[in-house]
Amino acid sequence: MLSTIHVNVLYFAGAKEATGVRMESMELPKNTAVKELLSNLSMMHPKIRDMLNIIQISVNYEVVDKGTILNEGDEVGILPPISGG
Amino acid sequence: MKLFAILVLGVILYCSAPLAGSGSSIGINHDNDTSHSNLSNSVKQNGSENYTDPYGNSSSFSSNSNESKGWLMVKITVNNEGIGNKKPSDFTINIHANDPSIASFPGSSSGTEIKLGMGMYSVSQSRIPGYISSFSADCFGGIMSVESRNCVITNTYNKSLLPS
Repeated sequence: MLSTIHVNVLYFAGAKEATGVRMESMELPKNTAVKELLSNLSMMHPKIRDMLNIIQISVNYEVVDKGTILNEGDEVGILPPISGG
Repeated sequence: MKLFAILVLGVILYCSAPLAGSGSSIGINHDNDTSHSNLSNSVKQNGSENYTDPYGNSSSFSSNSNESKGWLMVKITVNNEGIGNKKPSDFTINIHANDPSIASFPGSSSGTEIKLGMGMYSVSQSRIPGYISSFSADCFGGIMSVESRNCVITNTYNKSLLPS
């Protein structure tokens, strides 16, 4: 039985600019929820801390709420609001 | 009437003149064109060609197949945070692309240069427990010929994310 899972976190738009990376591959404890992942991300990337309240999160291309439990191989998208003219 | 006949004859002669003087019926006739006859031309085995015009000016063209490829530099950095003990070469890098010159290789902090065919590409890396791997924007995307990209993968040891 796996005690950890691996997820890929994809950063889009402003989140990509703030973190300076396009993707992160990380190992998390099993039964980690999206909100716990976000808490870890804010520690790793202080610049996205302010953004976390307004971003949408997708897991495997579907927008989810922050209580969603992550599974092995999940692809998590960090989607800041997009503006434009 | 006489004038008309002369005019028609003139037109007929004018139109048939190019056909009579050359082997080609359409376009510009190069048979008697000597302006390029002094060009010397040599083709090397690697596909490059050298031309020298009558004035001694030389120029070369290369059709080497490397020119139709993009260049990708992959650099691996490792932050052990005083706890981990891995080196860049402990991580195996995989290139997913059209006809990469190297598809799989151990990571290097000084960088590994790979030639890629045009199109979409991505870079992945073997997992090592305890490390978070961050991929820069150039580790994914599309590449055209003679373009170059720099992919940086940073592996940071982070024990706090793992269960104790």
